[in-house]
Amino acid sequence: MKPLFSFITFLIFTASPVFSQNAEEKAVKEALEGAGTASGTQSWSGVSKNFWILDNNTIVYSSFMDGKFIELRADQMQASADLPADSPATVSQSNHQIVVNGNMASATFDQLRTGANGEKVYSHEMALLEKIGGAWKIHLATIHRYLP
Amino acid sequence: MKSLLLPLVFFLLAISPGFCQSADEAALKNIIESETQAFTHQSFADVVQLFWLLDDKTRAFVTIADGTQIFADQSDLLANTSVPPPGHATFIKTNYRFIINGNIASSTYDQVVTITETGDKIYSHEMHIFQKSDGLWKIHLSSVHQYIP
Repeated sequence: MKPLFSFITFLIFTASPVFSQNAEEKAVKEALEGAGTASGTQSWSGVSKNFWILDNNTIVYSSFMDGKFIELRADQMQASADLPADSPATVSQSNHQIVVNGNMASATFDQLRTGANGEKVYSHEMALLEKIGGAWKIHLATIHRYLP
Repeated sequence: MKSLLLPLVFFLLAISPGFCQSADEAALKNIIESETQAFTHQSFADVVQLFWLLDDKTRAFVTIADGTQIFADQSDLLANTSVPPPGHATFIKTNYRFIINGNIASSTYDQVVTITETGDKIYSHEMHIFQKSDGLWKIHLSSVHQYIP
């Protein structure tokens, strides 16, 4: 009985970091998907309040298909109260590649945004997240739109 | 003597995270500058092997000023073996910002590359996400948005 107990204890100890890592990756993915879904119907102000860390380092870089580029910082996000022009849009994400290390995480993923008029916008995205008060929040993001 | 020692220890403990942060920032800045300098005379494949952490999550996303996109994983990065002529370009980077916490860090900055032969300038906003591996910072993800000012 004792060897079996030792073996089970060993198994639990060795497996727990993997479970924990998977749980954190899942939480990071949920934070990204939550922000994506919210961006379909909410302003930058609303999305950033719930899903972002807003400070001097906060930044979004965003390139459009025509080469247009936008940079948003925390104060600009907070001031942007207009609903998105394609609202209500639906947003789906796929192909998440997540690295978690302590309270920091990085992620890349693909996103498809379908506007109220049916227009589809594809993007490759990258984000840096930090865990604050037990919740993963986005601190940096970069958006590269593309034609599939 | 003892009464002086206590505030001194407290002072050193209080400022040490600041020193560590500065040391990491200096190391990250050195990697960023060295990596770009290497691009002026080495192939992509050689540069990424020196300065990048290459695994199945490594990515480089680039949007050119005309809207053209390049998305590369580690095999794409390693496939580019063409070597540029030495001295074909110079660069300046400004507005560095760093976020460092444990073994993951990020930097954002602005870059202007000048092509030596033509004088043409290429402007970009860039973001790197780094991982510390065996005590060394390596680039894991990179995003480049070129733009016309």
